[in-house]
Amino acid sequence: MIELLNVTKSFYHKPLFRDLSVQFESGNMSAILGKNGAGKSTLLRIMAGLTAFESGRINVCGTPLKSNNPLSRKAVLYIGHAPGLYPPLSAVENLRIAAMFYGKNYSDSEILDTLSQVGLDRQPDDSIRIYSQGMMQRLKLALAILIPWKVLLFDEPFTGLDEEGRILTESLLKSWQSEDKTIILVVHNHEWAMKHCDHLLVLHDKGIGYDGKSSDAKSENIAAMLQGIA
Amino acid sequence: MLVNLIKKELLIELRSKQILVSMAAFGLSVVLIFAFSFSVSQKILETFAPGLFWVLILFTSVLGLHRLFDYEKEFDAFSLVIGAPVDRGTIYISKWISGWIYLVVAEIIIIPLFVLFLQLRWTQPILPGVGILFLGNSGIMAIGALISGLAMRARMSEVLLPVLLFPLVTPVLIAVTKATTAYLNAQPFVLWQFWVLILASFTVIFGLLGYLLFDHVTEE
Repeated sequence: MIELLNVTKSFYHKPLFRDLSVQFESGNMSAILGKNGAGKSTLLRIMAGLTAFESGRINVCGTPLKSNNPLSRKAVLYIGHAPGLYPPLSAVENLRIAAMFYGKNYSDSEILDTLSQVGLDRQPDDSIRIYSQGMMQRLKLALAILIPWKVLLFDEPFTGLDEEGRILTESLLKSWQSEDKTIILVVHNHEWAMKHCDHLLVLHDKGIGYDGKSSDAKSENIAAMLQGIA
Repeated sequence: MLVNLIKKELLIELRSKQILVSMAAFGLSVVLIFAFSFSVSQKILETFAPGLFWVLILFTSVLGLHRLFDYEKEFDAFSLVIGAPVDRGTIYISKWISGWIYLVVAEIIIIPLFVLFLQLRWTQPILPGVGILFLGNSGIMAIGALISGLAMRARMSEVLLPVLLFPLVTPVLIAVTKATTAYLNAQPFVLWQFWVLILASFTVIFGLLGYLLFDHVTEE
C-alpha cells in the first residue's frame, strides 16, 4: 500500500500539482491518467523516491519515504519509460546487478529461466544496446519477476510491445495483482485502464480530476478530462 | 553492498573500456606534448616536473570523472541504483573508489613515460612516492566524485565539471605538488609533513561531505 498526503510539486516555481492526497491499496491495480505534462511520470518518480517534492508526505507500506532511508525504498520497484539498465552489459548481467541491489543473488540458470519466461532467451549474452523497444519492455518484465517488491510503479508498460508481449504483460500484471501486491501504472489508454484496473487516478488541472474505482468512473467524463475539455 | 557497487562499476568499464582508454590516451598525448614542446634546461624541467605531473593527472582525472556518472544517464540507469534500497552515500563511496582505481591504472601507464620522455631522475625510495600518489589520487577523486555527481544532471555537465572542480581541488593540488617536490628533493619528512596533513584532511573532509550529501545530490 502506498499513501500520499498533501504532496506538492513544482517545476521552476510553476506548480505541477498541489496538495495531492491519494491512497493506492494492496491487491489493486491502479492507473494514473492525464494529459501530456499533467505530471503522471513525475508522480511515479516521486513515489519511487527519485524526485524530490516540496511538501507533503508519502508512506510506503507504513514507512515514510525518505531519501536518506534506503529501507523505505525496499518495497518499491520503479520501472520507468527509459530502460533504466546499463547498455554495455548483457541482459543476464543487468538482471544480476539489479537483483543484487535488492539483496538477491541469482544463478545464471535462474536468470535464463526468467528471460525465457519473457521470450528473451535467444540473445542473453549480447549487450542490451542492440535491443529493440519491445525487447527492452520484456527485459523490464524479467526485472519485475526477479526482484521482490510489494509496490510496482510501471510507466507505460505496453510501449513498443507486440501482441504477444501485450498479452504476456497483462497476464503478469494479473498474477501479481492476485498476490496482493500494489500495482500502479501510467497509461494513456483510458478504456484499457477502465477495463483492467481497479482504481483510476486522473491528474487534471494541477490536482485530481478523478480518484476512485474504475467501475464507478464514466468513460466520457474521463475522456473529456484527458482532452482538456472538462 | 559497497563491494557489489564497485564490482558493477568495474564490470561496466571492462565491457565499455571508455574511461581507461580515454584517460590513458589523453595522459600519453600530454606527456608527448610536454616532451617535445619544452626546450629548457634539465634543472628547470626537474623543478617544474611535480607541478606538471599533477596538472596532467588533474586533467586526466576530469575525463574519468565526467564518464563516471555520464554513463549512468544513458538509458536512465541511475534510476535503478538510486531507486533501489541502497544507501546513497555508499554509491558515492563506490564512485570514489572506482574513480581512484581508474586513476591508478592510468598512472601506471603515464608515470613511466612521463619520467622517460622528460628524462627525469628518480632516485628516491619508492614507498613515500606511492604514499603521496595514494593521497593525491584520493583527494582529487573525493572532490571529483562529488562534483561529478552534482554536475551530472546539468545540461552542460562536461563544462560544469571542470569549472566547479578546479577551484575546489586547488588546495589538494598545491599540497600534493609541494609534497612531491619535497620528496623528490629528498627533504626530511618533518619539513613537508604539513602538506601531507593538508592532503589527508581535504580527503577526509570531502569524503565525509560526499557521503553525507550524496542523497541530496542524487535527487532530481
